[in-house]
Amino acid sequence: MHLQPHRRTPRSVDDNLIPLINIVFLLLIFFMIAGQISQIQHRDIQPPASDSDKPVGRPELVLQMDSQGNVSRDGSPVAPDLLDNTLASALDRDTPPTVAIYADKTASAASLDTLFDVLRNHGITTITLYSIAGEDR
Amino acid sequence: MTATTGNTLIAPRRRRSIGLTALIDVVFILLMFYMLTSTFTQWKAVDFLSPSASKSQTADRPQLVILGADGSLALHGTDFALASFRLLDSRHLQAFDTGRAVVVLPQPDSSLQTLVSAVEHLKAVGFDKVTLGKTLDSTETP
Repeated sequence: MHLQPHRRTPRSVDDNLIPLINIVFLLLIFFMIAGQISQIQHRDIQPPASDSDKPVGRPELVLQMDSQGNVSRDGSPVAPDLLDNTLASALDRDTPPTVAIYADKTASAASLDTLFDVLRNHGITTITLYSIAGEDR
Repeated sequence: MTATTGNTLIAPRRRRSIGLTALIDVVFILLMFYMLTSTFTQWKAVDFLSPSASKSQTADRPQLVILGADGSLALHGTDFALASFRLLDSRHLQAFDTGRAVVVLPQPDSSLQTLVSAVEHLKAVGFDKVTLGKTLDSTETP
């Protein structure tokens, strides 16, 4: 029996790229499904860690507080004496909005208390704090 | 009838395969976009109920727990004190009334991380109603 040697057909460059495309497609699908595209938060704010399992919903008002206690809203700083007036427009409704605070873990309790006072004066009963899952250290 | 014999028929044009290079370009750009913009951080919520909201839950006077900036813990009105809130465990519960609400009063310079950890630790030890109160005056000591 005479076996003819298998003649390799010339492969095009595209054929060599197919495994690469497979991998890249898999990576793309992974990042599309597993990742979340969210608004860029302030990089200088490190939220505290907590053991909470409760996910953050969709708060209607998000305030940021850095380690010095400076409050900002949507990235624009809010002066302490203007805090009450600035929040009045956002909070002056029949039903109080859900409020979440994105605060630095080294912020002092006194600065947090000042912000809480303003929010409570506007009828906010529950204030949500952003935290990241994990050990606190 | 073939194209070679007849002049009226044109030979079918060979189908050109679509090059994959352009596809890879687009897929790479999409991959870069998703890699750079997506985040994997899982945000967790820590809720603080205001005193007005928690007032309706209990008619009893809450127990006041004073939290120092260094994490020390003291029960207001008693001589119960711990060097760190992390030392608090179920053995210390006899000093408390677990049925009553606990209000944590932090010192002004307590960090937020200390505050969150202390509130969560109190809940983990067995207190159902733990909320955050106002900060103490700087003159007060735990």
